[in-house]
Amino acid sequence: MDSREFLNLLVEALEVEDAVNFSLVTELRDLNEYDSLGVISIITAIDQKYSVTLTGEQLARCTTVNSLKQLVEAKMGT
Amino acid sequence: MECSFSIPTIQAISAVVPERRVLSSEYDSVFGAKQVNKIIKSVGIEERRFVDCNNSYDLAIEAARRITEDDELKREIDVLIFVSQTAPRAVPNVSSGLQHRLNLPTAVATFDLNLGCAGYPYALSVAYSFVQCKQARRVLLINSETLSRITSRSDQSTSLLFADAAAATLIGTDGSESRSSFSLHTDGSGEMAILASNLPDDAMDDKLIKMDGGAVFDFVLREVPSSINKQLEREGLDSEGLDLVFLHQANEFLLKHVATKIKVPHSKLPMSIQKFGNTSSVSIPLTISSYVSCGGSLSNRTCILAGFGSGFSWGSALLRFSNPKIYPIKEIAG
Repeated sequence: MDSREFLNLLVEALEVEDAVNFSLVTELRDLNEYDSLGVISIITAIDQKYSVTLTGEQLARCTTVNSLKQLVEAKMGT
Repeated sequence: MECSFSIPTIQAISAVVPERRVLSSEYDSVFGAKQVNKIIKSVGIEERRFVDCNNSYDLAIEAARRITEDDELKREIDVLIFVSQTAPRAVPNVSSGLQHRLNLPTAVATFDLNLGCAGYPYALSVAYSFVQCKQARRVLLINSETLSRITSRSDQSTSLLFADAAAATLIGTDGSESRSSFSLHTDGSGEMAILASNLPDDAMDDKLIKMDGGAVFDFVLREVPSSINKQLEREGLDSEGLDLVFLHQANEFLLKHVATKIKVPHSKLPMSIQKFGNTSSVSIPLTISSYVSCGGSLSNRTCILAGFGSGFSWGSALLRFSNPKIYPIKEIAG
């Protein structure tokens, strides 16, 4: 999976204000935009883009953007 | 449970809303304008209708009156079903009072069903069963909710969501045959996800509705699209064969995503959530009324009507409208 494409997807879904400093090592919980609506936006965006339906619980176990990316990749079997 | 019918059809729908309009922006002082705007953008609700003093019984009378005052439509009603989770009383059943208040004959059988957001397809299937078995010539189904009365103004997961409305649906047969099918499901492991107590001794806070929005979102994505897709497959239809999809108006963002997952373009997904919010089991007939009020046609349209929510319970009806009488949405004072 292309990292830049994945980052852009999350920036758009969460409407991240500080997109310049948003990277794979960003901690999801450090983002102001990562609230209950943000969780729903991420799940939906990933489902639409990669046909992977995550649950809120699975997402909650992801700490960084990279751990989320790895979860999606594992579910895609790539 | 899967079931199908050949002769029942929806003959009329009459929806009412309270005249009091509550703008979502009125909650800026509670959650902050930025957060409210974010919620409006996601959930889609710009305004809702709240009762002042009316309860779900009052709204039910107003919704049904236009049908029961029409001599042509009133004839042959043998069953009256009242669906609500905000009934103003536990004893007796509200539907018994409705029989009297609507001047229906005492030969009418009445009962209440306690069902949430899946209540429209569920109760419709009961009405269709009576008509199909010829135990009833016509069934009057009334869905009515005053959720504003059990919603906390400061609970962000519910306060900008729920609203009040009622709708009466007349089910009968016009002598022709048209296949309809229903798919009804339950997963009680989610019983705590949407919860409100109505026990008299419970604290007021327990009587206010609580919702685990994340759990509900997961449930809807997990179950509803696949359930609808399987139903279409059983009926030998694909999404292109659908003219319209009326989903329970839970959340605009969620509805669009469900539509995408069943491969239905958003142009076939009428919505009323922007103006009326989430009115539980009333939202499907209210959206049908809103769609027709805006110039849409139901005539000979093949539709999915799908509800999902508390329980968890979910259900969908695949049916073809003939030419039902859809009344304009009426505003009710009080």
